[in-house]
Amino acid sequence: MAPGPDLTALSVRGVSRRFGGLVAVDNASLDVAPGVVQAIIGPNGAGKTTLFNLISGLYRPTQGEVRLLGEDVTGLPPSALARRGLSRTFQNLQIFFNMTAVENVMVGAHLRSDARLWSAIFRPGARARQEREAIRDARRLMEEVGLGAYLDADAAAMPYGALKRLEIARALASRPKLLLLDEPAAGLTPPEARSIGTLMRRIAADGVTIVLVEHNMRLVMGVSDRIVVLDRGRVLADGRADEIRANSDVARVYLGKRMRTARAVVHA
Amino acid sequence: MRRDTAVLLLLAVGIAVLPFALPNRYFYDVAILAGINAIVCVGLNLLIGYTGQISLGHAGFFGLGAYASAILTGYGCPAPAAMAAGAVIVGALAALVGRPILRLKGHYLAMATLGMGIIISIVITTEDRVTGGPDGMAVAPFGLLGWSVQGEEAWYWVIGASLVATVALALNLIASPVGRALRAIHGSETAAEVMGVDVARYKRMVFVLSAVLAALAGSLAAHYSGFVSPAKAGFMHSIELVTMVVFGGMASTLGAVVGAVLLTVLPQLLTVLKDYELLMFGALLMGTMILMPRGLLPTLETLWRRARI
Ligand SMILES: Nc1ncnc2c1ncn2[C@@H]1O[C@H](COP(=O)(O)OP(=O)(O)OP(=O)(O)O)[C@@H](O)[C@H]1O
Ligand SMILES: [Mg+2]
Repeated sequence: MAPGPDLTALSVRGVSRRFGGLVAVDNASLDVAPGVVQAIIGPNGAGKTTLFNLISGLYRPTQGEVRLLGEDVTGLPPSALARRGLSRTFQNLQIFFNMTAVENVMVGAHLRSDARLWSAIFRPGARARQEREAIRDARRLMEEVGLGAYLDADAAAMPYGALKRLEIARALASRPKLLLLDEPAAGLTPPEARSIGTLMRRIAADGVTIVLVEHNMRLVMGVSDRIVVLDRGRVLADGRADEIRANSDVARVYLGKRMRTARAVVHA
Repeated sequence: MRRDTAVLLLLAVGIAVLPFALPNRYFYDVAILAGINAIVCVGLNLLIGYTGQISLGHAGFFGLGAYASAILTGYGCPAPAAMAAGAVIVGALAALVGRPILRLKGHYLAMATLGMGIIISIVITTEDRVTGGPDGMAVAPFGLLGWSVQGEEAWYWVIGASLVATVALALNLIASPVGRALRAIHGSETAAEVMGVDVARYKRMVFVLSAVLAALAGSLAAHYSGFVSPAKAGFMHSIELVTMVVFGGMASTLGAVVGAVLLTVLPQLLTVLKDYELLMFGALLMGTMILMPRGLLPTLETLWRRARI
């Protein structure tokens, strides 16, 4: 497929997902251009995480189409999407607590490793060098996301804020083209949230397209090129960050309340 | 890697020097039974301990391996070929059965594997024209071209070498990207899948691998004792195997060996316990879950590390 002028990193077209009687995502469409930071905001239960699960293949859409880098990937399993350059983090952490921090990140590099049963069992010698490299790469990534203090830690012994970063490092280890971040700053202190913003800008500068779901409006306004507002599963607004800020519908449904509480928290 | 080499060396040296401490043939017999159980448990631990997928039916695979050797050698098939055929049959069966049941989780998987084991043992018991039914059947010695493994001492070395090879295989596997993927599945299937791990495929792979190891051990056991009975394929034997893995230490290859050895040797040595063997297994399983849910070896390791600091 020739990359046309309209080639998007991610294109969601008329996607819906029902759970019984509930329509969690309702005919949602959005296009994400390569290299941008795209935010998705909206009140609790708006369907943001469900949309991420649809994009990353954890859920199948009831209807609609998802295209990744121009290719129709609707209904493909997550591992197939990972192979095509998609990675993500989770709102409710999905850490491998039975492993060290470095091993968590190394799983992120799974697709670049020699994971054949035969060489796993019979060629430990040939593998040793690759493993040393994999460990070095993982440690470097951890340092890059600010986890230098946890290079020898077990994941189970790490604090919440560090685990949020560990998920980012693990996702980056796959060298994704498209990275979905589901509330990376939730539960973090304001300075921690700011440094997540800095980190995101650095990741974007490396050419990774980012889709961000986040309630922290300072962070969203600080890093996003474009914003989509989701409400009860529907796309309420879609535009540049400044346009969304000025949109009165958005303010009524969501932004006004959020901005006020965000400020109240900061000034408290 | 260095730690794995040490574990392997420790095991090999232990097996090599143990005969000096074995006073008579009876003790060889116990050591051989322990070794056979250890081979099954190392494989089962890859599935249960590392990947986090329970199986209450692995005695069925063990039994199928044993009966494949018994039946095929009875028809004049050379023992190594019968053993390989048993492994292939069991591997294919595990791949076939694994596809639907490994989608299940927790209790559902436990019930499904339990059912699978029960079906295998019922088939073995009722197909009495080929299996001898509840009475079991005699098995020819393990031999090829006029040469054969005879006597406890010879069998001790065969089982010892097989165990070392199995442990080497398991250690290599776990230290590899494949092993990491298996442990990731245990930690979070969702995250593993999103990181590109084909979860269904890896689960099936480790299920087949553990089933094949059980089948190979079953073949060896059949030839060693010269006799097979349906009990070895039954539910109680599955429970014993799981108890050994859980007691020794989940996600610890050496732990699986230690669990198998201790729980084979203890009931034999304390003859009082022998009549209450299942009672002991039950009590031990409960005690392990309550007092040291991670199992004997991982718990001891933690205590040891803490004592040194
Ligand atoms: N697996 C599921 N089964 C049934 N209902 C679900 C499922 N996943 C999500 N929902 C429902 O779909 C709706 C959207 O949920 P979702 O988690 O996508 O919201 P969200 O926008 O991410 O909210 P938050 O900001 O609180 O994270 C909610 O009403 C939720 O209860
Ligand atoms: Mg959410």
